[in-house]
Amino acid sequence: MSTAQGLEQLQGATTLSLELTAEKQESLFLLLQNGFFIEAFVGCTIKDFFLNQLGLSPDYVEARIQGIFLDGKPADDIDTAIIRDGAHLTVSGTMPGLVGIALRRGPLAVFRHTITHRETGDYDYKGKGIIKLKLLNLLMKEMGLELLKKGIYMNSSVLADYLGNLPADFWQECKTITMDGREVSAGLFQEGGWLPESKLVKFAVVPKNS
Amino acid sequence: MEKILRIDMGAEGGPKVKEERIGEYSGLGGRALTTAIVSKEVPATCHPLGSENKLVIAPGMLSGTTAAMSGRISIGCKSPLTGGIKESNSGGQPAQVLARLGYAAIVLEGLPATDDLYKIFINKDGVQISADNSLKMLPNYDLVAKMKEEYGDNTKACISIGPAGEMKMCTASIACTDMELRPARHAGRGGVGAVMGAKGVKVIVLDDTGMGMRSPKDPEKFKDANKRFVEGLSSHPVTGEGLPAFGSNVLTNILNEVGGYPTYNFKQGTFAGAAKISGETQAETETARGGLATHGCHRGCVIRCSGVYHDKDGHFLTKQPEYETVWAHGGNCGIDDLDTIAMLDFLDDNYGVDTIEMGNAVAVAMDAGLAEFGDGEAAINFVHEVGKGTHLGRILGGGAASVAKAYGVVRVPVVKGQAMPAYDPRAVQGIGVTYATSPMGADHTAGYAVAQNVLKVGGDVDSLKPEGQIELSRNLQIATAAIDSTGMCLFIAFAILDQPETFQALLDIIGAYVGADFTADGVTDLGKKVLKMERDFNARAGFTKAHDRLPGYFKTEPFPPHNVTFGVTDEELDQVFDW
Repeated sequence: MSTAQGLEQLQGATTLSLELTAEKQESLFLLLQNGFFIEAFVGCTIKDFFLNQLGLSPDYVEARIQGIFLDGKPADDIDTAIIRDGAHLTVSGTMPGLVGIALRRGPLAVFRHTITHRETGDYDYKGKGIIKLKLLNLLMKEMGLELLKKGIYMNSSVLADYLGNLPADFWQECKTITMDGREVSAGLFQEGGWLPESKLVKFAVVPKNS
Repeated sequence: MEKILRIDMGAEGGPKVKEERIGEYSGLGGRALTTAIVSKEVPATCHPLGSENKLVIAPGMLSGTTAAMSGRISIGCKSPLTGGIKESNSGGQPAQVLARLGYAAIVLEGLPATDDLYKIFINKDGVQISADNSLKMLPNYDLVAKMKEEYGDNTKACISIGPAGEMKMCTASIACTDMELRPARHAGRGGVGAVMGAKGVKVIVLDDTGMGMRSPKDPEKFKDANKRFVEGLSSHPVTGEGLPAFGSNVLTNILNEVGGYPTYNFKQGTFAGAAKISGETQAETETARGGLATHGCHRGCVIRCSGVYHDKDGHFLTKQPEYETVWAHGGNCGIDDLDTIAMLDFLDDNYGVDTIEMGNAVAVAMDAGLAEFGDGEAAINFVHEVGKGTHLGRILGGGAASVAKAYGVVRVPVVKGQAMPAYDPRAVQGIGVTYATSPMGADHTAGYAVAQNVLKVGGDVDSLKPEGQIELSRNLQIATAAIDSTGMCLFIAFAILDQPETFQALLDIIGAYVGADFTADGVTDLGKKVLKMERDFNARAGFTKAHDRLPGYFKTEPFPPHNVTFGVTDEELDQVFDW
């Protein structure tokens, strides 16, 4: 979904925010493996996106982000790989197995040379755009909360399905649920019948002191 | 471990036990020992289920010591699935217990004259062999329960076969019990269970009561090296965090993301239901139901990549299915339900079949039109057919190639008759080199372990050039053969790869154990020696370079989403073992 296609959907998205304790916030991290949309400044390198838009430190990127996949391809050089409008960026914190090793930057990269991302350098646009971001395994927890606090755009049916499967004690601990500016009850989601008309939902978490 | 226990199942008057000094095999353990014995003593052209084949069960060189992660046991023979030499290894408790009993190997020889089924009990006082036909066709879980009733607390570990092994199916595995005495760890690949079945042995019960840990030559140096080794494993993101948190199934999302996740019998590289069966989802499910998202398969395991999977009612269903199992029965069959996959894992373990081979066999059956892709109930019924030994079950139990032959399926993902694991060789071509050339058939663990930048086998490799993957596959196969001989779990590879000090700690553990310096060159020499014996056996069995190939369609059929084909030439594959 690029800016041209997506701005309309973003503007028409239902908004939903949950006020949650730290313990219950963790129940939402698994959702992030499905991928979500965010507004971003595109035309920049992956490294620039990590440092200047997500606010990650260079040390964190180096030590914790083991796998970086741009449009389904392992991206070894984050200094040159460009995030285009509509790009899919996936990050992973752990990569076991021989193939896991091969998919990291390193000496076994040659094992998957036919699917490695190669920057063509033919993208000139720099500006506002939409990208799909996916967080896997350890990074769901480490990076997830900050993104959820800012708000992410989720596919409505994926979000509805996920929320509908959360246990009753999650909703009991959820202090305030706000949808499109109005407070709603947890029962709406627990019954499993909730599905907004908009294709996307702007979903956010408001931290609550326990 | 200075003795070998030989049991001649075909001796006149019934099975005969002979204990002998390790002799010419001294210094070998695990895969090095199984390969050495099979290569030297088994006629390469013999029938795998005949009297001349031998089943060799060998703990690793370091098993039974206090070395962390040293609980792998190797099981070797001529494979009924591939027709070549086979080493299949497993976790669980038997390696540690057998090693503490002082045995470097158990060798089952000959064929029984009758159709009696035998159990073998081994403790410090000796070996008891008895016919027990009440065990016939018992699934593994029931069998182990019966052994616990019979031997009580002396049942420290079991090595067993299920009905598939008794029926001599080519998918038959050999089960090894874990710390809770569950037969949940398997030497799965190559039909080793069929060879144990042919020998008429249902179960080997091990009891190491009264036996202590095995002592290294230099205890202080050993203790220090082991401490550094554990620290290295614990501090690494993969072995210290990722594997304990999510298990090996964390790979589902990753392989799916890069389009390398074989789906619908290797037709495409992404699966819409991947997130539903990912390691992340699996860990969350296990925790929510009162199971465990992290659990070791043997004492001394510090990575704890396994877990315990409960059903919806909170009752034990199976151990945490590994990535390969989740893929084989999941994405490759179009099934996106974890409970169905966990049930299939349990049935595989209980009937005693290899999850990779069985998942592929089911996928080929679905491709043949016997069921729709995604039909979990049909997949469960297929495995029950195997357990019951129906005509269809016998075909499925013969493996993926057997199903393809019976139903005329052209697309069958096997090398040397053995089904491919969970990585498509068109997307990750380097692993295709290993699939094609490993003496074991398509095997994801054949090229693993210590990377070239540590061992530098054959000099420096340019990792940016495609031809580099030939040398890397060779080097990885050499390193893996060596690691398989130590009894160490292959998952130590990550810490060794990234942390030179952890690799040095491993070398120091081995050195302190044998009482001499052990270097990276020693690892390389051992690995080369093992591979040379294996390839020599296969050559005598009739294998040529024509067997070191992937099925043709991997070269011609583009694999979505990247639409790549396997581009490594035959000439390049033939260079893998040029050293």
